[in-house]
Amino acid sequence: MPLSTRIDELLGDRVGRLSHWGGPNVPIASPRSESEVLALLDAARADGLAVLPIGNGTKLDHALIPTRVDLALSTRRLTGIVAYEPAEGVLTARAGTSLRVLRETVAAHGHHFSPEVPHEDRATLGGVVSAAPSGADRLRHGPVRDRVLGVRLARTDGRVVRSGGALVKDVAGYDLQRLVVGAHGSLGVVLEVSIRLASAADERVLVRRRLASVDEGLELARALAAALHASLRALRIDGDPERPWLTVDIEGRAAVVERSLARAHDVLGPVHVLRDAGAKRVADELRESRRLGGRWPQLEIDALPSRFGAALAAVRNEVRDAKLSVELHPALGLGWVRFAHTPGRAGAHTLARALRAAGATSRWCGLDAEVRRELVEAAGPPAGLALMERLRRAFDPTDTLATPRLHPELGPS
Amino acid sequence: MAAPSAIDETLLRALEAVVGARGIVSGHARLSTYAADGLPLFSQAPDLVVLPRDTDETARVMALLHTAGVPIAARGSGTGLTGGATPAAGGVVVSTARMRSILELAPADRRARVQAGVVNADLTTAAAAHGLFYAPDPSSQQACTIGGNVANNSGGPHCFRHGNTTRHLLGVVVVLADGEVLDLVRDSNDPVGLDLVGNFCGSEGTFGIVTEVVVKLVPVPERVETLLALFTDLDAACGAVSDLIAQRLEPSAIEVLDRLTIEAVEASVYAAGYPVDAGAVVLCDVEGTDEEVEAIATDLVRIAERNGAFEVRRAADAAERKRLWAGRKGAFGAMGRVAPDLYVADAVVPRTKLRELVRLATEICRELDLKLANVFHAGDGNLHPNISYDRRDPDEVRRVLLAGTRILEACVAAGGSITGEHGVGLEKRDHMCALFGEDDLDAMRDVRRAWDPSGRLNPDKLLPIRRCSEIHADAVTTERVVPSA
Ligand SMILES: Cc1cc2nc3c(=O)[nH]c(=O)nc-3n(C[C@H](O)[C@H](O)[C@H](O)COP(=O)(O)OP(=O)(O)OC[C@H]3O[C@@H](n4cnc5c(N)ncnc54)[C@H](O)[C@@H]3O)c2cc1C
Ligand SMILES: Cc1cc2nc3c(=O)[nH]c(=O)nc-3n(C[C@H](O)[C@H](O)[C@H](O)COP(=O)(O)OP(=O)(O)OC[C@H]3O[C@@H](n4cnc5c(N)ncnc54)[C@H](O)[C@@H]3O)c2cc1C
Repeated sequence: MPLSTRIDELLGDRVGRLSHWGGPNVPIASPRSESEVLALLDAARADGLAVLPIGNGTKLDHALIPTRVDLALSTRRLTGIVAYEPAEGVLTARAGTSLRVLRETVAAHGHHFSPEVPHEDRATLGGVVSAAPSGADRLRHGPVRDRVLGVRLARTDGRVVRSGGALVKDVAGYDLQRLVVGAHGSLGVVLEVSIRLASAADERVLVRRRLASVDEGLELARALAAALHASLRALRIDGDPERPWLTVDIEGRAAVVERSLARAHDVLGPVHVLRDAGAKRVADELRESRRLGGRWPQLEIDALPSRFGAALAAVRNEVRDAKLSVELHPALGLGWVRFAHTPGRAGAHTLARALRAAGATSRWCGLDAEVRRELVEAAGPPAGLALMERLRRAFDPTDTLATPRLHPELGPS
Repeated sequence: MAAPSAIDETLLRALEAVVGARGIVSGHARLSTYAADGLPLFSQAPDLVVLPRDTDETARVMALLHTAGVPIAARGSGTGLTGGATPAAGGVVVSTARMRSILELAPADRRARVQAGVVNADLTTAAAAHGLFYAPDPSSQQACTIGGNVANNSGGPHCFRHGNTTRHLLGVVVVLADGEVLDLVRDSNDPVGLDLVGNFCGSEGTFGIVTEVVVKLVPVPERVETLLALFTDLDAACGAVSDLIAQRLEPSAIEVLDRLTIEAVEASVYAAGYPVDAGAVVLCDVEGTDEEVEAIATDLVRIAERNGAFEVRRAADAAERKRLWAGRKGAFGAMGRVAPDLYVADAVVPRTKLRELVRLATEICRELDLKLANVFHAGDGNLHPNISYDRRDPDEVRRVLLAGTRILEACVAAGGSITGEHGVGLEKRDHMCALFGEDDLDAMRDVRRAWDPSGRLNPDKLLPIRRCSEIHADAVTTERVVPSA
């Protein structure tokens, strides 16, 4: 069925289809230039079509599945590094550039690109900035929003706006980029992003230990977080919650790493130490294991570190028999629980309630779209919801972007 | 362009009923204290100052002022350097001076909740008992407030490693222009929905009044060392800093002080023992574990020396460290010896271009016959050319502002920015046109309207009130450098 004559003309035969993402099967347009992006937006606006900006479509169900969507607009073909001056420590690239290209480019000059996400061949810069996932390196390198220095964004009315820039320090004007990070494409199409790079560490070691329980892991994590603060890259508990693993990921200068290792021994006793290629292999496996979340229903728990234990206890209480696997980052208060079977509508509601009572926020992916919307609604309106809607409308007054993404009430009613 | 006083007797009484008699400042003499911030070139006395004690009082005050349609300027300690707290459009100043309580310290989560009027240094003092500190450390930290820091997204020497205020901000309670209270404090890592907190930071009093702030605290490092590298000239010191950055060295602070600054500091109560025979010094803090500090310090000395440092000193003890930093933080004050007034410019350049831009600033001031001193956050490329002047001399004032404009233009042309930490305020409003296009500014206007549909919060600040094309045309014909308020 033709979508719109103008869009068909613009695309020719370069149309794919977005399917198996939880929403309706829609065409994907993958423009090759900014002017094509703008022409597509213009045509969509004129014909009243709702556009979903995407990268490679790998993480679309980390936000709500939009009820209004006619066309996916992928920025995956807008690739390339716009500017990278190694002596400055800042990189600017187009939205479609893959995280692998970015990581390899900066690694050659002693830099580390954060966030570190799974499936880096497929993950695009625009997608990662818009979804703002917690990278495997978040404990050391912080959240995505703290690394984005500036963005260029196409508004649906065809204007391209810049916010921030490519400087490590700059307070001129409002930080619109802060709104764009994590907005899941609800404000416009991200065209270009400037990122603050980190220094690559000289050394990295992993320490692994089998645990008797998650609780044992939480206790050890507390002691380790206090003793190793400066050199911890990640501290995670993962696997089967009955017999999980504790992984301590340490990086820094050689002398610092050795000292941290000695301290880790003091806390943990005898442990398995992985270095060099061995450390890298296991670290890569651990990072990629997140991808399982794409196939299984996955619950993300987000709480203050002091409440994290209580939040996990609430989950265990509610799902006694289910087969689970976990990835927990207790020093951050973040964790993912994967279910081998969908918990069902009532079960999901009970879980969300129990987590709220324990003071934690939770988010699902891989769950029925309708149930997810209900869960977000049941949590009550987030503070500032009306202001968020005013902001969304300010960016997209014609409702040309697919909605809702962040909350059922963010979009035309 | 002050609006005629909109404060009638009924409104005054209603405000007084909320904040009590001690929460109101009126009368010409007392109001004149609030006519300017740290930039005395702009001044405008408010019609009234109101000092609420908490969120609830602020909300009631704002609702009353909303009904009356009065413009509002928020004020912390008034140490801002761009006219941000100056009530340029008249109206009411809402001051946080009576909101000074530290509400909660939560060491297990490394967070603190404070009222907006808490003085920056007081938070670090309070957190010290738990082995923690608040990292953003503006040189004005003994006076400036956390609310002012949030509004300006302020920085400081140690933001080189730790980042400006925005990286430490976990939540705010904001009162909007109509008195609505938004409690944007979250007990999670990531925001639910759009990141309103991140967007609020740096909004310079134009989005709402922040009444409570939740910030991250950082563990006090096991060891801190202070190093002072001495150079014969400023050029070499800048080159050394660019090299430190290129080598990806990570001390926690990298500051540069030039000869004129050193002389002023050494002749003042802040005398720190800086060598008066050096053309410039690079002052660094290195923090971490013993091993980390040793490793970084060794590299630092090597890089400084290969860039021409003729000596690198290490502070012998905590007392000497404290002295060296007191000198740095007192530098603006010490400049008072050089001339009655000091214009503190604030600009950013790519860190690879420190040397050429600092040289250019020097040339610009020489050409305009102005006395320039440099003391700045070199590691972040954040320049502070300080120009001494006497505000009673109108021609000198004109030349100072012209120099400021030229320096900013040069920085922007080199890929830099018009402000690294002091904000835009009134002073740099029109300079926004040098950095942003009309479409960018329109997006910012849209966002501002979403936060403050009434347009009464700090009107005339931050965004140009005319189109950039008009401003550019004007600048060409008249060389006008002061924003036409
Ligand atoms: C199966 C699978 C599961 C994964 N699971 C995880 C996980 O659990 N945790 C994790 O950290 N990482 C995960 N990743 C890896 C990685 O984080 C994502 O691939 C990445 O964040 C999204 O990349 P993308 O380019 O495909 O973006 P998409 O999935 O296409 O888009 C992500 C979001 O950004 C928006 N968006 C994309 N591009 C733009 C643009 N140019 N402008 C505006 N909005 C845009 C989309 O609307 C969407 O909301 C997973 C990857 C795969 C393949
Ligand atoms: C000697 C000296 C050294 C300095 N050093 C530095 C430095 O190293 N780094 C740096 O970044 N800055 C520095 N500054 C600038 C200044 O101290 C900072 O901008 C500081 O954050 C201002 O805080 P304040 O409480 O004085 O705010 P004010 O000057 O009172 O206000 C600043 C701005 O914030 C707004 N505001 C204040 N409180 C609120 C509130 N509660 N809600 C909403 N808006 C509010 C005001 O409207 C105004 O726009 C220095 C200033 C001086 C005089």
